Amino acid sequence: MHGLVNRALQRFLVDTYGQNVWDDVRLEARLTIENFESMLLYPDHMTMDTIKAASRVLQRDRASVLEDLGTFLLSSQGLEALRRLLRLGGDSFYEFLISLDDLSGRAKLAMPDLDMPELTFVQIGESSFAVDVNWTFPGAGYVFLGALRALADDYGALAIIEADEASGGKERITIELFDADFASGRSFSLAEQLQ
Amino acid sequence: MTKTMNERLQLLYLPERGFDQLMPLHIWVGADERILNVGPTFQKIWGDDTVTGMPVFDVIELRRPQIEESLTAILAQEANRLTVGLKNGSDVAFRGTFVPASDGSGGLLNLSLGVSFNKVVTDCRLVLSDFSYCDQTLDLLYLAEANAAIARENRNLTERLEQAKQAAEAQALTDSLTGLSNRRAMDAHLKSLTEPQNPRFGLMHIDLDFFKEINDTHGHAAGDHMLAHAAKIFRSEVRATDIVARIGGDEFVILLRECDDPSLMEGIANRLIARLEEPIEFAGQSCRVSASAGSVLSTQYDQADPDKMLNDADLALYASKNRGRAQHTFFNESLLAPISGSLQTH
Repeated sequence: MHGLVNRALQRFLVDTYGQNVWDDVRLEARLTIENFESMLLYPDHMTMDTIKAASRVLQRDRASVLEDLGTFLLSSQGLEALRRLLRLGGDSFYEFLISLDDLSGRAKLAMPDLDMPELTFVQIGESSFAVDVNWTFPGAGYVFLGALRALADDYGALAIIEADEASGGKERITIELFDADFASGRSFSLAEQLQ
Repeated sequence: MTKTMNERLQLLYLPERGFDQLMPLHIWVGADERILNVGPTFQKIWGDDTVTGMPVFDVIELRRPQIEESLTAILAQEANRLTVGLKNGSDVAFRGTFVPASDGSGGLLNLSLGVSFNKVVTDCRLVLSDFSYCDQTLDLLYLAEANAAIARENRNLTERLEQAKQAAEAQALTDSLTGLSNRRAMDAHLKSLTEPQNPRFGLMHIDLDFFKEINDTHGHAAGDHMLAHAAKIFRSEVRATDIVARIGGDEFVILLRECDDPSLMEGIANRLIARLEEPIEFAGQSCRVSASAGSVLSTQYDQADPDKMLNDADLALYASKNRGRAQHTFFNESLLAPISGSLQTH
């Protein structure tokens, strides 16, 4: 698994629960390293072990840990770059959802060795949609569930976003969009300069 | 009957917003060189004043090719690549292409931001809807953002690695050039050797002669080669349990365990010097050095002290240098007097 994913997971645990929890998770997962480096590659089992250990240490089920990770990725101050990258997808939450088809390709442009989930946008009804998440790593659907909920807030859209049970390696998230402009949302300008 | 291309184009009535949607950065120029219409994004980049109706060459400047700014001249540039700037003091450089109208009454100039997209997006506060969905500028923006984030991550990683490297070097015990012990390791060995009651070991301090000349005439690579060569000789002339350290540029210290025999040390020193004096080849050139050495034995002291022993071996070494180099001197108390005397004359 790419270090960016592992590093994000570590950051989520440290920023949300503190260094002590991260140390406990590290021991529980029998990681041989103190920190994940975002620019290195790690064996896949290290990511799985870390998630399993986090769920045990926090005494919470895997799905809710992963969902919180997704929310964290989009709302943390330190990860502003990720939010900006996703918001480049569209001016509205609906346009953003459509742009998810391109996300994996765009990420590959920037980082060819990053194994990104394949996302497929499916229009079900006029205001109901689904996003299929296809990744080697099971549970990614929950990360996107948290991320999409955070992004709907970010756009100021009123939507019900739920996880559908996994089937055949695919995990499905369903979205019922009630009001695309429910609230004003967080401001977003292409011109915001990254530090 | 099949229609000609021209007839098809006649039938292609685009809605009014058609051009704007397809080409948000176009300028439609009429026969009088005045602007008939511009795309909404062009208007936004230009600023608050309405562009439509202005003479086109009051708005744009042709940077390349450098031709006369007239409709006639630009009509001849059909299908050529144009570089277009603005006459409002902005330093935007558009890439453009011009298509004359079929009846010659003006034409259509379409523009793109080219590689200056990042600056324009920032300066003119463009938003996603200012771009056509067909425009890859958004993908470029995405790439530029991702690139900046990755570069930042890489910089952080490099900084952490550099700090780790410095920490590792600070804790290292080996001289990376020669593979010998370094100053830190030598200090630690010397301290532990002086710890037991009545320790028995010898300390030899060696300094290469004419080493600076090798560096100056043959270059640093030759100097490094000579240091590695000297290290090999020192290592081969002592037992595996003895310690050979490079403690500075061309300075070495040898610690001989279980040694209380001055003539043994004298013998080793003379062999080292003789072997070092054999010229060696480096990059087709012959290099020669020699060495001066000074020694002490721990048994010369009631209380063997690392600093005192190093200092005394150093005095003996300088006595060797003063007597004309390429020799070994054993430390004795008489060396203290003339050296301190000569220091006073400075």
